Amino acid sequence: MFPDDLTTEVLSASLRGHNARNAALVNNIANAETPGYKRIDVQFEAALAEAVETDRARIRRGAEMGESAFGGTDETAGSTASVRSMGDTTMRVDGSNVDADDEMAQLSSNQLAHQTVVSLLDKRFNQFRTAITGR
Amino acid sequence: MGMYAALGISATGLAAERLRMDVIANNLANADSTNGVGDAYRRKVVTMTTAPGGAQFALPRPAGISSTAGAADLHGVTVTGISDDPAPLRRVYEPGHPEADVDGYVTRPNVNAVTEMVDMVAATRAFQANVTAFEATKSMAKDSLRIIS
Repeated sequence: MFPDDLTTEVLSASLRGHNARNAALVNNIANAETPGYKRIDVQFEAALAEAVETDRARIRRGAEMGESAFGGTDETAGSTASVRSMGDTTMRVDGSNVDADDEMAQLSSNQLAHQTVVSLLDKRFNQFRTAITGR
Repeated sequence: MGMYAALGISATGLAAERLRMDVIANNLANADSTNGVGDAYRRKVVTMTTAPGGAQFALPRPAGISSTAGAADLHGVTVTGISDDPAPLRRVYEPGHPEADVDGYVTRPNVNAVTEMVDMVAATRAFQANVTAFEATKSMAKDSLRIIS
């Protein structure tokens, strides 16, 4: 209903990023006992922040020119997570660089961050609901 | 799609660790199996590798991921084979044993109970880690489904 709302776009891009990171961490844990496996890392925060900055500048310009404050969230909506294999380090004698404790810690912090984004998105939709129903 | 792919990846880990447990149990069960004169059960070892794209457990790529150079698609883990441990078999002096050779030695398996126990603990912990990862993914999916309820 509000496809151009920047807040909604940022939060859903962040959800996509956390989902992708979850998949990578889960893959690392599944391969924790695989000799020579190199851990996979997902990064999206920096790219997302940059995309949000670009869109925000565009919205600000639009507002100055008297256009709608909505519109122009293309960068944020299209921002993707980048996956990279950390092939340059080795931690164990079998050539793997997976630290099970670290993966589990990252898994639960990613889960918590995901939960936070979900409740923020929920709050945003509730704001829309309030605006629509007027109560 | 992303969430369900992650569940599948954890499932590959669970399946691989369970197979490892089966093999360890088989090694322990056969710790005294002789295979006639001069031969005995050889300890089995599971080898695992990162699942390639076309593997049995191949999973769809999670949405919103752009792979950069060097990053493999996420397909979990796969077992490449169960092979014999090439370590020498034990020779035990038991002249009264029906499978003793002319010198009175019986060939016994190269299974070491302590090694198997250690492997079993490692497999159990790895299995538990995959269960925890599965639970985390599940609760993330559950949270997402709650957004507009």
